[in-house]
Amino acid sequence: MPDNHDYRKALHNDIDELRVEVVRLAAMVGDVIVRATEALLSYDMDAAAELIMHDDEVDALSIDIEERCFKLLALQQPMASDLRAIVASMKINADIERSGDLMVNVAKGARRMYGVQLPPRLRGLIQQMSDEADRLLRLAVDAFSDRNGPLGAALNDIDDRLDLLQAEFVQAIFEAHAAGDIDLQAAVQLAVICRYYERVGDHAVNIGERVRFMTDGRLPEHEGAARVKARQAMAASAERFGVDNGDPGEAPDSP
Amino acid sequence: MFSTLGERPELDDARSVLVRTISPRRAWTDRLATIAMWVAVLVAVVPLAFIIGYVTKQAVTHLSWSMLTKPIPATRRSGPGIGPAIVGTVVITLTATVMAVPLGIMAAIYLNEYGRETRTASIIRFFANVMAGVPSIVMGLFVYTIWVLRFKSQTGFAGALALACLMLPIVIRSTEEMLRLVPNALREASLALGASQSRTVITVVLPTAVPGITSGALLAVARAAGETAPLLFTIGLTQSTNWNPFKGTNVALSQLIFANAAAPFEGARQRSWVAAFTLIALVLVLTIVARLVTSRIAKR
Amino acid sequence: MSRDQEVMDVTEKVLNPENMAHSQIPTTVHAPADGSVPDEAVVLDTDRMNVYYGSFRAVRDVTLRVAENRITAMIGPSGCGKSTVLRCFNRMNDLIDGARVEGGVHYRNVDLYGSGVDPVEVRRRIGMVFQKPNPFPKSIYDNVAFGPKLTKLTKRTARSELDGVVESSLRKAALWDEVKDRLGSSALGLSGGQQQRLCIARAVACDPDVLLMDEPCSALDPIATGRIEDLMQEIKAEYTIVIVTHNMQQAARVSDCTAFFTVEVTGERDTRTGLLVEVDETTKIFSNPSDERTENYVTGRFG
Repeated sequence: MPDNHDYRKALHNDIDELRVEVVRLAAMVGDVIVRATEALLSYDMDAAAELIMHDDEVDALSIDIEERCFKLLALQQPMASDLRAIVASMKINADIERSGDLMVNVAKGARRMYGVQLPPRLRGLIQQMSDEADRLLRLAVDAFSDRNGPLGAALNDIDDRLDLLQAEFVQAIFEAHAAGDIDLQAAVQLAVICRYYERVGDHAVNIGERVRFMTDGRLPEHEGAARVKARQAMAASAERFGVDNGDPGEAPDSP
Repeated sequence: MFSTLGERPELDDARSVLVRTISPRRAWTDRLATIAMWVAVLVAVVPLAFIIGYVTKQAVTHLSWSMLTKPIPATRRSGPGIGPAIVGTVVITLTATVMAVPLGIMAAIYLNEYGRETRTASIIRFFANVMAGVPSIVMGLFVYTIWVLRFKSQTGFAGALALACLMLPIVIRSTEEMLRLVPNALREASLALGASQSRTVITVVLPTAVPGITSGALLAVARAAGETAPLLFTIGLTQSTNWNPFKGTNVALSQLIFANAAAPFEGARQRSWVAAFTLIALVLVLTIVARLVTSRIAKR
Repeated sequence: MSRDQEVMDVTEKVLNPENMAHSQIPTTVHAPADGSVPDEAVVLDTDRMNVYYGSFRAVRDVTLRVAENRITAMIGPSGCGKSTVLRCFNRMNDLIDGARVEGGVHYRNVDLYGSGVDPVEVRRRIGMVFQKPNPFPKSIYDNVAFGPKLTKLTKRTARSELDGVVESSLRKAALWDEVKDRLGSSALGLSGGQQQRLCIARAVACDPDVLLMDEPCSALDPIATGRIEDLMQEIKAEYTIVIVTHNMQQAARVSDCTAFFTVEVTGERDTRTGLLVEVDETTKIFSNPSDERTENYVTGRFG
């Protein structure tokens, strides 16, 4: 290469800024996870109300990020890794924003759970799920900011622990209900709440997949798409094969 | 938004920077240069106008149909007649043109389209340049030696030969210049459409260059028509009209002017003036005709 | 239709899945992702081609295949030899003194530089459109009729047949409606974009198999450029097109396949030699190129 000058400095600076904003959004949502769990476990209705209000700020930042992406796509005609970084940022932005919404649902759940005395085991499991969801989001965003494709791909496996915790929590709800520690209403509420944490983990896995797409252009879905294509190609050739052989009227009779 | 205060204060008052009276020095330089150019134009044009004006003034009183058509009387006689010289000039120049122009154009095509920078082309180009610098009387002597002396006859054709030698380098050089002006893009376009090189030259290059080539050739013709020196030894002299360039001596306007202007007879001088005027008119007509033809071709 | 009505229609569709059969996502069939094409579809190919100007090697080791009825774009920084390679395909490099091609350049399995190959015949089958519009200083009609008049066949054919060729060529170049009333007037009176479309019509009139385009839009404004790009899409069903362009967005917009060239500086004397880095589906080149040099070029990290 004759020189290594960057001829699209403005674009690359904007993409760097975009990356910083996405990380900032993730930090905000990570904070929301911790505070929502705290509000739930400490029956702090003020904190819950504050979190619900706080979601507007998360939304504002998320919209800002989306507009930045849109602007870059419209004006800069990014290509290759730049293009993938922007498209990935858009997707990741949506995943993070959705995670924030889920934690708002936890805060709303905290209101509905007000006055319900939680058995220690359930409390412990909620705290563990919260920590795990927080960790997964953090790992996903680390992978994004470091452009660490392998870490992004690994998140699917790391998420198994949160899934196991959720299964354990559901089991614990049944047991607590059977023991008469919580009523049916509270049990259903708790089942819904644990689902929120589990969904945050799924979003983190999605983020990881997008990080992988950003670094090497591949998505796990590509394999599924390839299978569909292969099936279609086989079906098409089988059809052609069938037509060629399955029309005896055209084929000359051999003696 | 873009405050210039502090950093570039002069921009805050753009008016004071942009609107300024032109300095007296600059105004004077401008005026002087303008005057100098007008003077140069006058110096160039005035003698020209003077020549044409004086010749016309001298000739117009003697101009008549019989003057233009009658045979030339003896030098010391007065009375009309330069007809044979007009015929001679037309015949000789035409013959020379027929020889020199096609040959010169073909040579130029070879030089610019085929030879380009090869050794042969460079040598030809060098000799064409040398030929352009040879004095015209040498051309006359040359033809006298190799043609007149060998065939023991002075003819219009011998004069045409000498004029052709004179015209050839002019035609070659002007044509080559004109061919060089044809954009290479046109050649490429033609070749890229699957035209051979000869086809490209004939259908694209030459038609594009034709106005320039015509005026170049015309310049050579006008130059040849006014030449005296090459004809002195080659065409002889006659007082009667001779349409045949290959047989018998001939006479040209320039030669008539040369022979008669120095004669101490009023009649001869009058014929000289008319001959000079006719020559100028001939060249002028030739120029106008060629311009018309050229513009007609260019429009097509 | 009002917006509310539209929303209701969509809602109904979603609620009644049997209505949705027609709105299924179409599945596109791509050629193999490695850029290879079946042998019978290869129109032009080079095999480790080197181009020299005198002793200077301008391009080295180019191995490239151009598929039939597709638009292949060649991109790369200045001096990377993309135009040089393009000009090898119709032997326009012959016109440059000292130009020499080594290695294979084939057109439908015929060696273009083989003995006995007539460059004039090559150029009739492989037409070219240049960077600057270069119509002949003749009438519009004569420009388009230039090629057909060259072939011996049409020399004897009637004027009406030539008229037909001129009209269909101008129609293909989307110029007919603009010039049909002034076919006899000079081509130089047309605008830049029209002139370039005239040049395309002129090339198309020879009925070539391949159309080479050397930065055909670099002298045109965006609207004229857009028309030419549209035109390329329309005529690609009939011709194989190879286009050299400085404009990456243009390559991305118009081409099916993209070849990226770069320059390498070798030796103490700063010899700049062009080489082919990567050739692949255009989508791949601009979204996820395999070679780091391509990546750096398309993202502007190297000019």
